[in-house]
Amino acid sequence: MKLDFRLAEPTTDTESWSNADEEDFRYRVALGDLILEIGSKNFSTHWGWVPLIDLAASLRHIAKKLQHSGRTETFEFTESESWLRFSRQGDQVIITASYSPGEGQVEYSRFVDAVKKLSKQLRDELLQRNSALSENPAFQRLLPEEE
Amino acid sequence: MKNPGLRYLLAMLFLFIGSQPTTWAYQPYRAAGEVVLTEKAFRHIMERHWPDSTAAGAGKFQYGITEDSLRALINQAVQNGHSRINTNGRPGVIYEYDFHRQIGTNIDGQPATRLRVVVNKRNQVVTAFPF
Repeated sequence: MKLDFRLAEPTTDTESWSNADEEDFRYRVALGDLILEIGSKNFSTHWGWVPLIDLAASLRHIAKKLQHSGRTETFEFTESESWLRFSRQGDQVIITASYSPGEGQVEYSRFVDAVKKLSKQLRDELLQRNSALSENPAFQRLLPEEE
Repeated sequence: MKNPGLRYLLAMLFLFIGSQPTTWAYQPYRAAGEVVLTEKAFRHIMERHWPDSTAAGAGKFQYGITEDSLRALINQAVQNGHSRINTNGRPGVIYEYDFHRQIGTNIDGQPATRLRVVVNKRNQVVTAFPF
């Protein structure tokens, strides 16, 4: 499973990040794309407007909800009807998307690890671009240093 | 209870309570008035969903849309649409309404008749797009 992100370049709004609130982080700033490949299935986006902090926070929320088998959680993209669906079946997570055919399957523990890794990498990348983010309470809440 | 006036009042009160619906539909942030479209939200919507926007993978409003007509669509959707709590811990409420006429195009470029509006706790529009 490859779970990653790509920041839309150039990021011209980095200065405004330090004063951003949760709504900004969820909808307006630090935009880019999701990279999600499972075997031969590719659920990556190529839109450039996916709010990446929201993506990471939402995936962590979903991973937590999928602790128990039988649960299904949906990630709705902020600016379209597109979605990603995650269904826990036994120790597997089945992933489907409205914008890409087929389904991917990954072990729950691997999914959790990938989400944690994505969050950490995104946090490090954004802090590198604007170190003042470390003082932003909404950023700290949505993308905490560790859990 | 010997006071007939008081007995009448109590009877009326019971009748009134009995006539009320037993359950109340949850309508979060369904204000009687209109939602607020801030300059920031308007710019956000224009950048992604205006007819001439180049943003990929996002619904677009029809040519001819104006700030006023957008505001009207949004208020109609909020006042008449289905509402649900925003997903995955995002704050605010989502409203969706089917106008049963084309208001734009969806991500596949097909005619879209529905509008999704996200409204925050301050009753301000966060985003809105056709789908």
